[in-house]
Amino acid sequence: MVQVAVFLLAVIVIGAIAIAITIWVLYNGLVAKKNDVDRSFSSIDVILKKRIDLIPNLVASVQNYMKFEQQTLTEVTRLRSQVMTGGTTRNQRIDLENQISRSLGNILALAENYPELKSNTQFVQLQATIYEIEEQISAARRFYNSAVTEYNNAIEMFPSNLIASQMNYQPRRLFEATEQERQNIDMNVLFN
Amino acid sequence: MKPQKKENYHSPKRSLEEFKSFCRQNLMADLREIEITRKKVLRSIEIVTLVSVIAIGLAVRFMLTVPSSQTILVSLSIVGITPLLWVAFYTSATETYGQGFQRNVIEKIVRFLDPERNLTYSRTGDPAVVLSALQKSQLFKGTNQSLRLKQDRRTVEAIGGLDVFPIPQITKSIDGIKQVIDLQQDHCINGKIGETNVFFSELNVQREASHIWTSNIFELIYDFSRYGGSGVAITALVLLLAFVSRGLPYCLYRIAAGQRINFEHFRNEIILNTASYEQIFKGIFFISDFSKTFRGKTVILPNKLRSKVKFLNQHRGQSVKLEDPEFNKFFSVYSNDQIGARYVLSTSVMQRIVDFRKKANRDLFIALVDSQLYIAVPSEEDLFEPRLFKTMLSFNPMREYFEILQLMMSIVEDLNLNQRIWKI
Repeated sequence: MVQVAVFLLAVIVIGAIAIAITIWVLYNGLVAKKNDVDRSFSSIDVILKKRIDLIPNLVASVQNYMKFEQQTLTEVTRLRSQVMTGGTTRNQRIDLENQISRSLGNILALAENYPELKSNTQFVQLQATIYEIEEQISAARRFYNSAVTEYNNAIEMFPSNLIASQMNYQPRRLFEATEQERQNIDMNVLFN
Repeated sequence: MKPQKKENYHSPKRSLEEFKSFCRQNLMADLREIEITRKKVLRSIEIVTLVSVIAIGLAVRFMLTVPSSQTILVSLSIVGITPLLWVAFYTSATETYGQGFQRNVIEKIVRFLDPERNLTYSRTGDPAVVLSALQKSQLFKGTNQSLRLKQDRRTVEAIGGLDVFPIPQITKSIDGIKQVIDLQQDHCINGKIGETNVFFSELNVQREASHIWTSNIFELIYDFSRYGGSGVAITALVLLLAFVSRGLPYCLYRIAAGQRINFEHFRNEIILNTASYEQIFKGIFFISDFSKTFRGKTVILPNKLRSKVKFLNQHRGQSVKLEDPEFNKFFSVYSNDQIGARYVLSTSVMQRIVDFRKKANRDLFIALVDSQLYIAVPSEEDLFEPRLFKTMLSFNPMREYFEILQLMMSIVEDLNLNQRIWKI
């Protein structure tokens, strides 16, 4: 009798330890994934700030040439100040940055119609810088998206979803429109 | 946004048909000459083999018919030493045959593929340069340690003698441990394709591990046999056993795989047992500029069990999970910079790498380190060696040389390395 009791106790203790270890591993995994998402977002943020800093220079250098495109220029300046004032949620911020990407793409595409602008060395350098930053943003965005995908998978899949719901972890949104922007760029290349 | 192309370069693509007619016009004379040499070399090897077999046969027969300690001694010596002489003869004969071939044919094929003469061909190059590139790329295990380059007889000849150029040493060691690397480099092609600086060569990199515990097996046997007498007989017997048990498979495998037999390696590894050689890389190693400027290190490995286990690749950085499922099917990626890795491996670059992988139909090891691209294409056989047991007058070996050279030269175009978008 005693032997059976000891055996059962041992089984229960080992089972409890196994469950505790599983929870510990899953919990730590979830925290690590969440931190990865935050880290990747902050690295996008660094590059986005670089781009935001370029906008006044770009507007200043194209303003004199592109008199008929004032609306686009005001639009991008408005978006910039909206980002600068802050107070936006992460999802709103993503939307704003996507809009900035689109309007910057528009400006650079419209610049093709102004030959004197294309011969301006300052503008050409700015254009190259913006293009490189866009590429870096796209890289950072892909890093963010892969971190978010792993995080979302973890909080939706069994058994880590049980712990995630206890920790009140919510799914995050992916950065979108990368493909669309890429296509815009390709189209512009084609038309020229 | 429009990428600014500095130059839109397209290397002239050469078709197999063009190459065929080029072979007929320009290489036939060389090939005929080589074919004559090949037949001579083959015949001399046949004669030496026959003589060796007869010598061994006679020795064995002599030993069996007149069994005395004297005859056994002489016979065993003959039986032991003849195979060694055979290997020495075989290696020197194949080497002279190979050298005569390489000077003419491979260079002419390179000229055919590069009519504008932007590329230079040389038989050997500076091994220290390639070794430091291998170390930078971190593609192969063991190359990130402190290394010392072993002096190669042929490279010494090529760079002008031992006295003028001391042994190239790479001494980054902190703890004083140095690995001895035996690096053999053949067929270096160096120059510009479009705007891109390229270099590639055939490499055979081995790590030499000296056996400290048996500095020389013969000294041991000699010491032992002084007490037991008839040392030479035991030595010859051991020699024979060593050759049959290890030497024969070693030689046969190499001859079958189309590899050269390096006599020095053979002597050290099989006969004297003073060192063993571990293969680090054998194949073609390609170095060029990359189209984007970046800092950091990204390593792309073929999807093998070893490259998938993160723990074994810790020194390469973090595992990078990329979006392209086809790319992930072929490769595992490690980098010390998650964003940097994605910056260089844009979706289009990934697609191009996958396409190149399919075209090459071989495993690829790719490293992107500080704006440089390193690609290693492993190969079991010596790629540019002439065939000894097949006729050189057929088109097949020529086609292989042509295809591998064209494949390496096409990397620049296939990976779009000439499109310098950001470099103003």
